[in-house]
Amino acid sequence: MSARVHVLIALLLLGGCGAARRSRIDLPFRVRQPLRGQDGALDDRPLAGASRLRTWVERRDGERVDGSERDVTLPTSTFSLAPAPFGEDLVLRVDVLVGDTLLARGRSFPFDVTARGPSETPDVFVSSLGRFARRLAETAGGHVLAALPTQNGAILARADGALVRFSPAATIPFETLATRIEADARVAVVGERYLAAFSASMKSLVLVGPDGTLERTLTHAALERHGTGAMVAASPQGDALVIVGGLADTQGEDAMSVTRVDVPEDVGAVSVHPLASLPSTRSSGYAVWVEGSSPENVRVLVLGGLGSAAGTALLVDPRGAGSATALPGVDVTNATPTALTGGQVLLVGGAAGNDVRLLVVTASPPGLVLAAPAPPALSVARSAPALVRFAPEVVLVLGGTSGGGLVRSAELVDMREFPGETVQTGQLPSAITQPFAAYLRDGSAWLLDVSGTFAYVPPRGQ
Amino acid sequence: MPASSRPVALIVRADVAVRDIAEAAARELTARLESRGFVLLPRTPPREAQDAVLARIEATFFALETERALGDVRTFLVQLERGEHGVVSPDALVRALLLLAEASAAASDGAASDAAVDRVLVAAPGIELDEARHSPVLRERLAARRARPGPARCALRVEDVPEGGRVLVDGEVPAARTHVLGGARIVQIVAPGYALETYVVDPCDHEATVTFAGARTADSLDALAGEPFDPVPRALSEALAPLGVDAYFLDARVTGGRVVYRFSHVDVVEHETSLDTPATRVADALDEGARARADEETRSARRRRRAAIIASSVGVATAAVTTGIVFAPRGPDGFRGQGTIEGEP
Repeated sequence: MSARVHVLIALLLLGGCGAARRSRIDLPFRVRQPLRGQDGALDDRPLAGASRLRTWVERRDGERVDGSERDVTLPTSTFSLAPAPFGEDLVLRVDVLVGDTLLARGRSFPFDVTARGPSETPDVFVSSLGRFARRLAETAGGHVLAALPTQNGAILARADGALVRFSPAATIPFETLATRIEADARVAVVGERYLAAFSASMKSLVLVGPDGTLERTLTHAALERHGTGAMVAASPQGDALVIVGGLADTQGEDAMSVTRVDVPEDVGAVSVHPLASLPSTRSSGYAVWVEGSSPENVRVLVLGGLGSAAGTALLVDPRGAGSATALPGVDVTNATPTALTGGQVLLVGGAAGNDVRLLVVTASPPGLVLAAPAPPALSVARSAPALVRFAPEVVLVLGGTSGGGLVRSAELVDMREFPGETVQTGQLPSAITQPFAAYLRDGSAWLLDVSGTFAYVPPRGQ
Repeated sequence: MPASSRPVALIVRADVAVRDIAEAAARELTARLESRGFVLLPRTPPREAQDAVLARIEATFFALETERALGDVRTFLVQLERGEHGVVSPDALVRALLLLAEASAAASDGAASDAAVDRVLVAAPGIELDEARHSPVLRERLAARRARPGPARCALRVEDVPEGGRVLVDGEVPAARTHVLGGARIVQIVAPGYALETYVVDPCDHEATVTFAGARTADSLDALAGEPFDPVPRALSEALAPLGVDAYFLDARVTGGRVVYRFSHVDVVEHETSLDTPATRVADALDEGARARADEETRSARRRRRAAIIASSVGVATAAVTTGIVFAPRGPDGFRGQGTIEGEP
């Protein structure tokens, strides 16, 4: 045997032994706290008075990894977790307790870990429950319209057309990307696959992937029928989206057009399908994709906005079986809808003040049923609040306007058990005209505003 | 000397009389090897004595700089918990915790003060506070916390401790590992030839198991090195074999009022000098000699050495395989999170 063969054998043997020695690796991570406010409020100090941390590893579906639980007595600045097997889509969880009372909690973004190490450092931000705490000194640099969750943050679409990669744990948390969308675009999140931005001026639809790259730009005669105020609703699975209405600048079907865009696995095979027109004109409202009990029962619910029958709701069948008018049974002006499961839509605030209503979409015959009794009302009446849905049926209500002023309070509507509960949950850190919060994969809602970057850890639904 | 992609350990074997100089010279030589692309096994940097650090922090506290003292004592405890001060001194730990309790109380953080007192009562259950050194507030707090039901005693699970290893809890060998008081305890494993390992665990956490990782450092190998100029002890060669480490030796022995240094790997460079020669000059002389030897090597010598390296690598690999077969079962593959809490509590 030649000397080279000897060396090769030796290296192979050493490599094998090296792998055996690496059967258990250390995974360093940080437990991070909010930035301290000037007043040193307790909300900014989630560990103040805590006696222990409860830590564990869970899979992304919430299933706890056996034997990974560990209690850590405070005060300490370093600690070890219980050993856990390698795996994919794991999450580190940290609860902060005094006795058995939960003070704060946090969890990491999902990560993979193998003998070669983790896919990323799984830092855990801990925050007091139900409070907005400043997490970062940096901001998104402008008003954010939509956020596509990624493995360790999100791709943000700003109102000025900029796309920003948001990575909370990175040294540079906000990175403006070279890719842009049109400043007039209506943006929707297509599952966890794409940001879809429809520009009424360019008559084009662009799809941006989770890595921030422009995956596809679509132009089509069907898209030219939609103009200013067109609404975009996307399926939670990310396989289709529907563009509804909008004031077209061509003659004919003014603000009544409907277009479905199919988004298969192969982004090159994206297809555009003009559907039957709306029964009445509509623009600048809300379009919500509502999943029913079966694929046949899926509908896009169009509410509010401007139109010849703006007080009504429109139910669009995305499969192309036409649209129908439905009466919601309540005044939907300036109320904000969000879809829950099982054909349910939560309608919050609006002209009626502090109402919280539950609508159930029926497919056959197409209609809306107003659930009774209604969920408990909001504590503070407001028009056009922002809603953030936590899986599966807990909704955070942010801001809005009341009597010409901005509402700062936040409330939580918990619809896991009918007729639900409504509880107050802290204040926005400042008066914000159009608050935007993104629900990211670390289980918290990130309020992204020009005045700061704040996170909210919900006390329910986790 | 050629750069090596394999780790290198510079092992010091020195008479007591010149141990300090030899170790300083070894650090200097280590730095030079590293600058030439060698991968060095780490050495533990010398640290200030725990008592000296505490004395300085206590002086800060008594000078009424409470915030600074609080920050310093927290940092010191973190360093103890990370093993950065070596084996924990039980007295220093208790002193630090008492200082933390005093400073936290002075900063109106009663919960942190109570937590520190609880830890004191776990580390030193029978402690009595000196009236001259500790405030009445702290003495009362200690009495109040002592009156409460204390933590349970639990079994401490420490796995894979090699023969001759000792387990220390808060700096002391516990009387019985099955009767250790619960709470945050600093568990250290001291084993000849291995780096000191430090963990913070609560023995009453039934899932908390300390597993000795068995890391080597240049310092830990020094401890197995034996007498200068003697053959390499079997324990050391056995420790080196599975690591795939190239060992360089720095021997230093006092003979006839002068020191004889020998720096060896493939080549041997000897240097004789007076007892008061500074470490940097020792390192200079040995390093220059080693470089000169390397330059003089002929092509045939290089070939012979290459052949020797190949043979030794096969030998190392074989030994490693043997070790792997015998000792590899270390539990299932996996990871252990090592958390660091950032910011103040």
